[in-house]
Amino acid sequence: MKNSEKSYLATIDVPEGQRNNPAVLRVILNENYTQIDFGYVAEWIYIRGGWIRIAPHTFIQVQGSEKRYNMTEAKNITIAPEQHHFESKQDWRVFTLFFEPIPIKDCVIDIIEEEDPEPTDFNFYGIRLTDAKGTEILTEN
Amino acid sequence: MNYSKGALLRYRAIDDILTNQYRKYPTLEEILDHCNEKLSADFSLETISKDLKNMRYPYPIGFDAPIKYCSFNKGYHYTDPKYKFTGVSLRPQELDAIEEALDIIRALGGSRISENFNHAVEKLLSATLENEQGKEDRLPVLQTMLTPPSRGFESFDLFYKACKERIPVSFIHFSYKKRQYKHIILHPFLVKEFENRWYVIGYSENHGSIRTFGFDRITAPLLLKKKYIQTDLEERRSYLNDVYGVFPIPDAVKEKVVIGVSQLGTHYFQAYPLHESQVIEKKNHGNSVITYELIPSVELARYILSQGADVSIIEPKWFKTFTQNLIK
Repeated sequence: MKNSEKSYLATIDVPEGQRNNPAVLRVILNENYTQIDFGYVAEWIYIRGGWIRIAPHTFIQVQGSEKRYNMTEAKNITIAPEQHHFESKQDWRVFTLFFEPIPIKDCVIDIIEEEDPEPTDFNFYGIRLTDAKGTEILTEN
Repeated sequence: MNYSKGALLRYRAIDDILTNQYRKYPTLEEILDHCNEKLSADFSLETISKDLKNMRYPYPIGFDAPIKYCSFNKGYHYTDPKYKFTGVSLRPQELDAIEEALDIIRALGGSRISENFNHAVEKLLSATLENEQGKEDRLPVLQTMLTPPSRGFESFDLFYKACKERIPVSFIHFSYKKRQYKHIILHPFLVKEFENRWYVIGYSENHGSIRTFGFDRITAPLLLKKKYIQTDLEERRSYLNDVYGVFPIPDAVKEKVVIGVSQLGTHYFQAYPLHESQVIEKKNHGNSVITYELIPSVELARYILSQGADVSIIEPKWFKTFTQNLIK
């Protein structure tokens, strides 16, 4: 978590039918950024688990608005065209994407890696964020 | 009074110059230069002046240092030439005890203990530096099992603080077996080591019950400003005292577990009891029936399996079945 302003842990609800690998695990809202934590497990169908990467133009869109909140930083995942290759089909990886800050309020968001997506792209639609200011995150010190 | 490591190093530097036979009665400026030179720092006269004052305070607040300014020689000195600055306000026998304790701490290995604890140890080591000099070639006479740093151990301080100050924690957990992630909100009450692995135990909001999580499967823990859910005292006590290992079998309660042990195995169980409730009933030929009062756990089942033909479960039956199923 980046250290600035107050951060809040939103309650998330990912609708059924959305891709579950990577899984959207946690959304943290801050006035300076939006943080989304994902968990990925290497796929059996790929030799040595395959690879992952994230497109640099990935963005969030809040449903009901045209505004795009661009990705600003990726942690623990390479940015395309670079790829992170797994070593085995058993590998797993938690990664975090940071975006421009979305409003700290209950809303529904889409995470878009590609506007014209292939099945392998990391696109998610209709993620409901509730209790947006309900749980503040404490800084460690 | 608590002294920082920096202050202790300055006191030691001051002691150096006050005991230097070739540079008697140093002025305040000379003491300052010596400290700055020795510690590669830029202290002020005020700091050094305060240090002299702190060193003069009587034991146990200060170091009882008989430092005086000699107006004839225009410099500072110890009025008692036999005075020995120990670095900590301790008597010789207390210092010996600390040295022994430090040996044990070193044997335990810094990596197994928290960052703050390591700093405290460093402080003690710096303070007893003088006593340590000349012992570089001394090999330890105590060695325990040391393990390389493990994944997730960096969260030790955070979880320790969360348990101590009762702060809920959010983290991402990955289950090796299910290959699934979960965002967990835990109200932790215990950090536990078992067989060189670290675990945090607490009330999991996701599960609605007490759960154990291995540090190695935890990612990105965050402290939350949220009401802490207190777990029942008896339940916590039970987790502390009634479980061999860290993963009690779901829904298991404290009960009598009876095992049959071979002649050879009995020697080991006698020497290394598994649990404080262990009662051995020896038979004529040296084999035994051993009884425990505990909550059956996965680790207990695995331990029994690892003993092969030397150990068999007599009761409860369900635990016998559970253990046999582990190898199917």
